[in-house]
Amino acid sequence: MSNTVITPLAPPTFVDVSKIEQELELLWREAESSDQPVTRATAFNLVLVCDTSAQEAARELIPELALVHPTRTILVVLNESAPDAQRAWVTAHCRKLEGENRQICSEAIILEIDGDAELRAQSLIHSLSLGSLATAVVWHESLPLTHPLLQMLGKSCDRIITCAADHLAPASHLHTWFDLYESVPPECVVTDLLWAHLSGWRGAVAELFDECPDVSELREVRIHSQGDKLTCGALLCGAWIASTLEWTFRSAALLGRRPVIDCENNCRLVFIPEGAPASGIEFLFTQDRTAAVLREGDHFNLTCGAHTRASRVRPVDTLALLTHELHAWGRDPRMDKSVRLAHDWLPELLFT
Amino acid sequence: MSNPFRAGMLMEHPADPCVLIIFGGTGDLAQRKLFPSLAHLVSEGRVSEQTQFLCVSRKDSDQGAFRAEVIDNAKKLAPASMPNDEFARKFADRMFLVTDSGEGGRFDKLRSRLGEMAGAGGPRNHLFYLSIPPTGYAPTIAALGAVGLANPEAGAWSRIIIEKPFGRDFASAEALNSAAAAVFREEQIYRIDHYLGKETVQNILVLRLANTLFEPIWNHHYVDHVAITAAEILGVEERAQYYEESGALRDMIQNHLMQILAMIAMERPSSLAPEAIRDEKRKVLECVRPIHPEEVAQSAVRAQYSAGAVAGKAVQGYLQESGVNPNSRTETYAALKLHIDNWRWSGVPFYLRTGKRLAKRVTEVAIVFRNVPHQVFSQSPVDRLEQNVLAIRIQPNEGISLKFEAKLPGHALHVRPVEMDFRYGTSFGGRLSDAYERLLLDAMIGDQTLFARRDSVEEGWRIVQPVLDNWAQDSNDLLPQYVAGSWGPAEADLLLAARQHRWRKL
Repeated sequence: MSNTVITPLAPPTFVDVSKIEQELELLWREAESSDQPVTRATAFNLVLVCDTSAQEAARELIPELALVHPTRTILVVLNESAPDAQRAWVTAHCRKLEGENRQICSEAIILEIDGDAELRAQSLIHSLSLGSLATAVVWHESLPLTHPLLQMLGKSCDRIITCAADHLAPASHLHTWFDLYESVPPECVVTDLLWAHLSGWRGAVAELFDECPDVSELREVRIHSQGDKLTCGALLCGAWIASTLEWTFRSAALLGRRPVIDCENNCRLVFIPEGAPASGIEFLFTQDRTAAVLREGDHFNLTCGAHTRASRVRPVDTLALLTHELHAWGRDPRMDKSVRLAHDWLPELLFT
Repeated sequence: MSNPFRAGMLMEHPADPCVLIIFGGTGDLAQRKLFPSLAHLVSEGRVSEQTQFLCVSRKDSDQGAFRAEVIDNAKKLAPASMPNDEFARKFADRMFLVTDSGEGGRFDKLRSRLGEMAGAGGPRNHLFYLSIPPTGYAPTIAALGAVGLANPEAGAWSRIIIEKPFGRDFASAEALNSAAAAVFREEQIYRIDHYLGKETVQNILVLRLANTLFEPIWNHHYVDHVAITAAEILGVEERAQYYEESGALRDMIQNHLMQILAMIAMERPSSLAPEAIRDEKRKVLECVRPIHPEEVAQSAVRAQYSAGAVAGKAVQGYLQESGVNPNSRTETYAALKLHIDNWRWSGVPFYLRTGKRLAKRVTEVAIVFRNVPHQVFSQSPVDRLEQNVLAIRIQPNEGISLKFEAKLPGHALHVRPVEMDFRYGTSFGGRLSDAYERLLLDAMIGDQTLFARRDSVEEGWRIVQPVLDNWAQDSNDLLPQYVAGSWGPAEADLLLAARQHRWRKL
């Protein structure tokens, strides 16, 4: 991450909702007349939606994201249990260009919408989004994925990033997410931070098989996960492995407390929700050979036969994951395949 | 069977663990560029945890002092590369020093040391980096071969990065390449041209191949001429000894500008595979029309800076610089007019210029488009239309701008050129990686795309050789002069005048 400092151009100014654009113009005019020149930069519209419980964290995220993604940010805070009301603030965050006096600034609009929100919020988001630019919506986990506002936004935006499927959330969560995934038009790309979160594991598995190349002799994969239930993270990871290996699904069953996916050619995936503090993936080959990726603190231990080596886990937080996701606007076919496969398994896994 | 789990993760391929052996590890380039770049790569987790750095130096120093010097310099020259003391300490722990006092058997000593490192569980892959004076290249390569370090153990690799200059003329480049080829295979050799690691240079490919807009007009039907400029405000600084032997043509045009020309002018590669791109670069350089001896005066200009002022500060002329021969005939400015004899670029001149102590530090490629075929505005107050220009700025303010004509608001028809401007710093936040970071990582990964291949280096020399030969024979006492802080000699303007072209104001 850059060491560049981001500073507010002005503290958030409370404004009349109907005069947001005028207030922003005023903000820029005043900034232009200051002794430090500013450039108003907007690469896309970024709409962050959360409820009041996540408001503070979301506000803190705005300047951090602006450091990497210059956008027009619209933070929408919903408080549906309060009587109908709406309030707005405008502000901008700036970073200095290296070796120059000029500042690059991104504007932010904060909307608090109380009461029955979806129609008012949708109309405000539409009117405040810059029409010539793409729009990304980041939907916070504090709000349900079935919220009508999300469904509405899905019809008009280019990108939705949900943070709903925490990697430790129960696998059933993936079902709701898949419904959203299927309901938006094909030109809108939907992802969940869960997929980005798994990038460390995916990278470690890929690294393991750089040195342990007998993929065709792989017969069983055991995915150990924390908690006592099959988690979204474990399920999606398993689906990624199975889809990468092109294993064809045959049936799902419970072996004791362990969900098992049987595939063609006697290959299978076993999920082991043991509640153990460490988690990992074991690979069993023909002729009793094994390999494994085990998470231990800030390292993955990659074991292939008798040889073990460590690989550093890159620290990830919501900001890093979001920043990464906002760089990638295209559909990821690997995620598509994995999500569809996991969704195919779900009915049998959940009801056996 | 290849690793299916890598699919879609090509950009995230981690570098194999290796020992990076830097010859000249206490030198200026290593301290200013290599170590800060390595520190950035380490802090971002892009190089393996097991990778170690072994510096070979002629300076007599102990490891502790060497580590302290590297960290101090990195903190001073690239503070962002050393985020905190804890990181600095861990980074220093990965650096080792082999002092090479010039006694016989020093490469045996290096081999033993690498053997010890591998024996202690360290990496068996070796990446050699020649950050030493060019006269040391061939002997070092030969010595590495003699002690068997060019041939990796089974399952390991051995690569070598060679810094420019790759020779000082066609014959010496060929000799150096042959010396390298006698020890290393071409796929082990990484000729580093840091210009190719710059973000905007890499963006040339994306601009051309990922947009519908540009490729259809990227040819002689629409392009009037192309001008590539690399202007510096600095003089020779501490490099007078090197520069006296080199000059602007060898130092900048034969390598950096020629590689940029190749990226601009090459045909579309069939894929992004390194060899596909490098093949196209070689092909287009082969199409550059040879400059015959009698044409040199019309195709090339050289000059030296005289005393003047740069950025408001008085500076002395080249001949007065410390370490420069007062009768030196080394050029500090060079400009070339080249033609590419192929279907795409027939009749389109490519102008290349570079110089020290010019008015501004700027490197850019300007694609200047033809005028519209019919001037419908000729009976209006519009006196003339300017040509559209697509400018690719390589440094500073990396970005791309497009200049076109627009009507001025008002009742009368007045037209003015305006610019659409894309700047990396404005559109994308975050830190732009230094070119050396990208190139060091690519060498560790084994991706040669951004490194010059033997054939394109030799083509570069073939193109400039007649000019070098002609200049070497020219017995005029004084080179043309330009005032420090100006845009170069008047002769450079004349180079373009025959076609009513002008250098862009930058």
